[in-house]
Amino acid sequence: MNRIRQVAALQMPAWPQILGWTWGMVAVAFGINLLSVMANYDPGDGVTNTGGLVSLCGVAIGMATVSVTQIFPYALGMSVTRREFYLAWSLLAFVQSVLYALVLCLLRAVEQATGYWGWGMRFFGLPFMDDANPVLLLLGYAVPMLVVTHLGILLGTLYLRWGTTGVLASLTLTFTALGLAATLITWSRQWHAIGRWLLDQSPTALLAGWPVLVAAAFAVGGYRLIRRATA
Amino acid sequence: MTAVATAHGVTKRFGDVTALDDVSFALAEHTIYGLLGRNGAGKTTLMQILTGQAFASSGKVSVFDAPPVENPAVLSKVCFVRESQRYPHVYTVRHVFRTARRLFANWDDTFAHGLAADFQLPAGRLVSRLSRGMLSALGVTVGLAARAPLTFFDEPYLGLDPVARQLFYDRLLADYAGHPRTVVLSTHLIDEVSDLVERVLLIDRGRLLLDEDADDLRGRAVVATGRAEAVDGFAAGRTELHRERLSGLVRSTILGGLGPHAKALAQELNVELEPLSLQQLVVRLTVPPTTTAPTDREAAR
Repeated sequence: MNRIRQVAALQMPAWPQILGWTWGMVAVAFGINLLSVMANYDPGDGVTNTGGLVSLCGVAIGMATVSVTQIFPYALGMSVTRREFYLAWSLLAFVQSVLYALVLCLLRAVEQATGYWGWGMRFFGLPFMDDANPVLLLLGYAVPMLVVTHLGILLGTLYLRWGTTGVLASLTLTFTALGLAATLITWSRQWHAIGRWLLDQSPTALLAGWPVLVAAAFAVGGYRLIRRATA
Repeated sequence: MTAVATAHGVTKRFGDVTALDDVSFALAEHTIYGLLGRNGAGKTTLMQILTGQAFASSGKVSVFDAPPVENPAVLSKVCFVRESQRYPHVYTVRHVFRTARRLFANWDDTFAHGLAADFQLPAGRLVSRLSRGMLSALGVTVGLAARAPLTFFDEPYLGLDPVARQLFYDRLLADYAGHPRTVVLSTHLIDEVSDLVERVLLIDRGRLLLDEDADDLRGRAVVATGRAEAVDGFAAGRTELHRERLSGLVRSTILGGLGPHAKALAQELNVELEPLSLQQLVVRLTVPPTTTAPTDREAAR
């Protein structure tokens, strides 16, 4: 574990940039959304949902990808094994997800305390998490962050193995598969059943349980890819 | 001989290209090796395989009695400094030293900072802003201060000027005396390192041509200069690697030592003999086969 911590520390010099860009971009998204809400403000509208957290997820994916592609060749040159590197980056993903989730819980509390920033804009809170207890709330933020961070790491390992072509080909294949699956579901009239299945899930399963499995699948994929990567 | 690393029948293919072809050798403990060969000969690939950074297509590699790939126990004793080493774009020189201190068990911080001062490396500067020479200096500083029992330098000193290169050779020898280890220097600057290396590995087009003591190699061939008939007489029965004509004189590179018999014969025939430098020997052994007969190359092994 000590060695994994030492390897994880390779990312230390990049933290100011990672935190600065991530939260800077979230702040910009927040500001633009707030201006947009203010421009259309009507006190009778109630609370407006923005979906602004997508910006945080997008930046987290990009940061994880860049971090892997930048630091892996250096780590390999410093006699670090691929396994040590991957475990260290999974540890970093976990710590970062929990820390970001804590910040999001705090910002959500501020959001609610200020009457949704005084303009009825819900940016950090999610409507379906209104009734969640504090633990579930934390998990509801942390686990999806874990998913997107591991997705970013997976994209990074794809790049290490097969370069830009590998990343683009994988994305194309994934979108094709998802598109075909959606078509198949539409053709077999199963959307209603899927919706019902989702509604039947407990909040814990929906916010934390199933996403953990997705994160685990990404992690297994990334680990298998990096084991044969060269610098 | 205690071997710290062995390669047995190592072959590496990239599609149709065979980068390494059935390479076998052993690296002894506490020895400085010169890994010599032309560009694209397979030197870097060989070192990548020995350090677990690349995978052999076939053959077996053992480092400290175990396969190096994904082996932390082995890699903790290995340092591989590449000329083309990539550094994260946010890293400064100081960050590199700090991470090296964490990752290399034998890292000597005082030595590293002494070397950084010698090479005038600015600690706070981003690695991406270093000149080529400074980047090379950073590489050799890490490689020396890591004091890994098996250290590979893959031409990291190419960007250094002659003064800085001499500084590197001096520091390497001085530190090697106090902390013996196995060092592999891959280089084109053969004459510069010829006094430094104890053993030579010569690789050409993926094949290992030589694996010999440097001292033995220095007496391996001679250059005989004289009139054509005289040189012919001297070369009779010996393997000639190369011949050139210079205003009525013939200059011939001949395999074989400068023993008393050869000296006496040369004197009798009025042929002037001089030892062939290591660099010239390597050039003669690795020139394309159109100018040197393959049989000569075989004979030289």
